[in-house]
Amino acid sequence: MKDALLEIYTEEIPPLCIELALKQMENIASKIFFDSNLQYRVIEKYGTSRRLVLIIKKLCEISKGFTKCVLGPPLRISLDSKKKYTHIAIEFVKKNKITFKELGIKKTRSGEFLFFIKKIKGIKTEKLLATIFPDIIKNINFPKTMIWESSRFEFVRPIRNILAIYGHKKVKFRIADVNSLNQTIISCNYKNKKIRIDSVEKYISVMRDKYVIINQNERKEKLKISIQTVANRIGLAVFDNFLINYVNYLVEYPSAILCTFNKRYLTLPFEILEICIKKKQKCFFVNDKCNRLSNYFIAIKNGISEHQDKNIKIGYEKVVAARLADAELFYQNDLRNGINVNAQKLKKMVFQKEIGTIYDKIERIKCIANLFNEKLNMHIDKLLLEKIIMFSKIDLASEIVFEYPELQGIIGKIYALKLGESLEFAEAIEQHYWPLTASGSLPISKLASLISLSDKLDTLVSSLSLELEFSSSNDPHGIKRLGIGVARIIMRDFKDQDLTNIIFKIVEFLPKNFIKKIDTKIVKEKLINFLWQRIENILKLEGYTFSEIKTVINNNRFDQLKSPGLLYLKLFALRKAMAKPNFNSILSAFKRINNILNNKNKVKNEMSLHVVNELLLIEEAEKILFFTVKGLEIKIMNYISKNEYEKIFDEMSKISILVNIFFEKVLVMVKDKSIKYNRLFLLNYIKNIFSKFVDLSFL
Amino acid sequence: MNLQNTIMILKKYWAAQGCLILESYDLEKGAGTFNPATFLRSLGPEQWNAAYVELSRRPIDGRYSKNTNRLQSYYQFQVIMKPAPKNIQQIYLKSLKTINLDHKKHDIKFVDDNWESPTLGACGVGWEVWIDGMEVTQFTYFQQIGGIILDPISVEITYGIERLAMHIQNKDNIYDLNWNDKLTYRDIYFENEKQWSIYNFEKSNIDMLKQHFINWETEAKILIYDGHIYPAYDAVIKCSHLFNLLEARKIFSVSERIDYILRIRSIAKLVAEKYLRLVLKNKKNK
Repeated sequence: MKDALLEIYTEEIPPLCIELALKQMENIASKIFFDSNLQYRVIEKYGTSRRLVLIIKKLCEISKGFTKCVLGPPLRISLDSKKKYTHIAIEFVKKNKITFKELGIKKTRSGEFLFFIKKIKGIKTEKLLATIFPDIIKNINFPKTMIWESSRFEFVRPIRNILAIYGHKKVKFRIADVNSLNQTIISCNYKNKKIRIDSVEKYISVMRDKYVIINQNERKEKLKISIQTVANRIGLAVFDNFLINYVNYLVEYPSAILCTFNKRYLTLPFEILEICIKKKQKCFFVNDKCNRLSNYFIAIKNGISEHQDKNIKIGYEKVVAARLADAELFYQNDLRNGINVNAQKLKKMVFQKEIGTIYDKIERIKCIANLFNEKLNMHIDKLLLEKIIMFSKIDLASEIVFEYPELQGIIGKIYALKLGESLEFAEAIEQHYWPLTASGSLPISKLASLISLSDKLDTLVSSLSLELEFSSSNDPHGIKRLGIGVARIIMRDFKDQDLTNIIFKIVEFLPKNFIKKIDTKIVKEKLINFLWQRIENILKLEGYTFSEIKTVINNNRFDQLKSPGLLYLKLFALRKAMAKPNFNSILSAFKRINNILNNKNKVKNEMSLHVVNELLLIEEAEKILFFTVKGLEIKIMNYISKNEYEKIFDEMSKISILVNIFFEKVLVMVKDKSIKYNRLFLLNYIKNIFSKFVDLSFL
Repeated sequence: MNLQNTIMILKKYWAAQGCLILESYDLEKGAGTFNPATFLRSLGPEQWNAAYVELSRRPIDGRYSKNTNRLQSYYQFQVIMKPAPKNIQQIYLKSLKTINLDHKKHDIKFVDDNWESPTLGACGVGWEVWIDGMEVTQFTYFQQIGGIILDPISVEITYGIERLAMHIQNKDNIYDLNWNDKLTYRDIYFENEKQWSIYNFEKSNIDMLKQHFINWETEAKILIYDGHIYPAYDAVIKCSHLFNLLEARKIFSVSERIDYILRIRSIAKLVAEKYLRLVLKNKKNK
């Protein structure tokens, strides 16, 4: 048993990709080793900014041989009447390069077959690794890949060296224009210096001596210690986990450098400092001894700490100072401009061509929010609502948001607080942009949720009226993302309301001149349709299957958006019913009804107009079925209107038994047309009662 | 080391690496990538190595001369190499050493940044290069130009000359940079920046710019149709700059902005396709 080592040396890998890649490498390797019957003790995985490393400890030197049973042709065609092998059997023996002596007869459920036992020999690991290693490299998926050389191999960044050894020996292969070697690379004086690695055991320590800490955990510890060491004089460094992990993969040997900025910037809102120092410059904050933010920050250098770090410190301080000076200027200008100047600016900022400015949009959001507020008796103070809506977009005209668009809403919140508005007021401004991603948090307060919904609906209606493009793969305007947000808010806060009329009314808030040019009816249809698709998406994300969702979203969904939350009750009832043993009986009964009716496509349309003629019911089974269903009809309609779905499934179960008996005892397609059609009408009658509830054909 | 020396040293260095040293292209553009020596030449199979200084106009970045490190027009030193050499990172790091940015004395990081120019239908994979936290170079392996998947792959290295010089000369303020040993950046560009900022943000004629955009867009389409690729590409560059000027007036909505970008992209794509066809045809005829 020896250790194996694979090190992929690349140009700098995006930090966020590294752990994803390592995890995959481990999984791929363990799967391949399992499939090849190659045993090992453990797989270790390491990564730096430029290296993806797998170490396989105590890997067997040969894969374990095994035997497997190979089935041949069925016995009845393998032997002729004289019990001699037929040409089929001879062919099988030839093909597998075996002798007739090795053949045996195996009884299986589907009859008797020829078979033989195949022995698969172990293969030397040395040889296997030459294909296993490249397979691992080929099978890593990255969120984004690139091409850099003529073989057009795809990887996250250019591969510049591959170190591959087993024991003391090199594992030879070639991938992406690179030959594997028993050497790795460290950068030294503008030259790539090659270092020979003779054994896996020494690899990590040899690299450490060259200032490359291979083990990410060891490096992270060093990173933390070196940050805190330089922070000690001031207080405590602020360890942001995301940033620590990010920076850890930005380097191979981290050293911390304490830097400082002018104290006056501490008066800037924290969010602005955060974006300038942490997000943009990847530096760490330091709190002073009283645990208040200090005017110090820590930059991380790649490489060993030296006296020349002074240059680096000056450099980082200069960049941060420039960013802060910029932000301070914006911030002061914004506060000086105040709300009125910015509101005027909004009158010049176009929201969408033909649909008007951001200012116009604000007016529409007010109309939509007011409509919800009134129609659904939400009891929100109208003046307050309109004031927040006005304020919610003010920061779009601010200089700081123009510079850092990711601060939209957050800056609005800060400015509102600065002007003495309440926390609820301020938070509604920030949260009216939520959810920021498909799975991001929803607005918390009722106010924020209403404004968010109104704003998003307005954008949706405008986008759909303008026929802005979006498809399953391409969403340049972010319409689908917006739709998911709308649907999530509806499904949380408005799921028990009939939103149809409100949604229809929204289209009419668009500018009059614009409305003349569009077909509002089509837009309304599109909007409802679009929202239902997003609701389906959400249900899928929540773990419901496609067929479950299709089953409960009834056919007439397209003309209304009424109490979409009932879907949850239906899904709950459906799952409960599906878990019961008699569900198969329901399913088969209603499937048979569907099948037979679908076969009669021609008459399908007129079918619903016809009523069952009681006098034409002849057989006992059809009489019982009809009168039972008729007796239950009102009850079922009642259940549907009261949303007592579990009870409906219970009734369906009862009826399904009668339906199955009906199909057993009664022939539908008899010669007598009037009887035949009467029976089809009966089945259609049953179908129609339940089609308002679920459509079982998707199951 | 003054700024003009920095440029001269870089030119000499890249000439030694086999790059053609070109002069800048005479149209307003947002980045050196728009120069046909990069946009068009990165298409097609022929080897191409070039370097040049390009004035980059970004109306939106103007700060009325009040900001110490932001300008509405500044210089880029642009290198394009096709195919990308294997040791290109080393070659680049050595270039920094020639202008006194020894990586032993500085912290040099390659921070991932996938470059994309929606207007050019172009994208690439690469990094921002940071020297002591300051972004001084964009380092990109082009993957697509004008919507066309590239083969072979070019590498583009774009130095921000003023940023580099600030670091080399240890200045906090861009206007304190020594262009030569007599004149500073302030002497040459201070008033210029102020006036352009006023023009870009306040005075430009929006209606005229919009009309010019439509005119040049139409012109581009006609020229593309007639197969006049190089003039058509100039029209694309003009549209792009007009868009940048309009954007500085902050009149665009999100979707209107995207709409303009898509319009420029569609003509840029057509030019790229026609150009590639021409190059391949010429190669065949050779």
